[in-house]
Amino acid sequence: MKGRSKSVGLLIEISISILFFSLFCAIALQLFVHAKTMSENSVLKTKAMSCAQSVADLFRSNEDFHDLIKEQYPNASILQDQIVISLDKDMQPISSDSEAYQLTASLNEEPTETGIMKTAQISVHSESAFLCSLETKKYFPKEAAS
Amino acid sequence: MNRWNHRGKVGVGTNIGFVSLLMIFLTLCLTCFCVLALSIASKDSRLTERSLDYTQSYYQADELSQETLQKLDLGLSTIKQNINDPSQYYTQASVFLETLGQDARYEEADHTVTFTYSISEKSKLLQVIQINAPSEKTRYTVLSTHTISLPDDLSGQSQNLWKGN
Repeated sequence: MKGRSKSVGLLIEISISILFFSLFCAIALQLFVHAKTMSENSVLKTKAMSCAQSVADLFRSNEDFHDLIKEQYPNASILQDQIVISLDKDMQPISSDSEAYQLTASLNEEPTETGIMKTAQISVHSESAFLCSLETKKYFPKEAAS
Repeated sequence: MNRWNHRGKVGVGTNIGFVSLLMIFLTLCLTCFCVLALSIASKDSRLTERSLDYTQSYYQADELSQETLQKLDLGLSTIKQNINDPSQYYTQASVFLETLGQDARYEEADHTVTFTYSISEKSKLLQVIQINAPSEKTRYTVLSTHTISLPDDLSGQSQNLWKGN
């Protein structure tokens, strides 16, 4: 009888332990998933910013921006005042049919007496989430009449 | 009785309390890993945000530098229209540069001006521009654009160093 009561006690103890452990596992699993999501978001934002910086640096160079984009991103859709580049999950440029993210560069030109101020507003986003944005300007002076 | 005795022998080592201790140990391990994973992810996220903020601040400073270039070009163009003598041109240009702000420092010797733009508390963007002579086609030349890191403010934190005696 003593052995039986010991087994019953052990069974109750195991049951209670498993109950609490499974409860705790459920909470811990949620926290692990949350940590993983945070980590993935950080990586994604870093990659998105790096991508936006690449485009911004092309814009800031003294060569023709549209030509540089055509050369670096052959699949980009280029309009007069907007450039759209389709990106995959790893922020690599791809054709638009299987895109996960989109880099949009809105261009603006402001002519002045002495030159042209060009502005580019670059943003990386998906259909549901916004990742990052950059605004950059480049001033192109006119040469003085000799 | 024999049947119960037999079971008792099989269950040797699984006394009451051992399972609870094992579960407590596993729970503590899980808690540690969970807290570590969360804190690493949180720090990583904060670092990313700071990095993004710094990049945006850098581009804002760069934008400001381009706007200053535009103002400088317009100002020099106006001065050039009225003055042809190089020495008078540079004198007028140095007066004009003071109105642009951005900690403009003009060097008369080589006709260069250094503009400083703040990126963050610890870094600045420095742009060195040469003012060209009125006879040249371009009114200015950007010699360099670079960032500098400012040293940490150690004022009030005197170190008790050995003075050599």
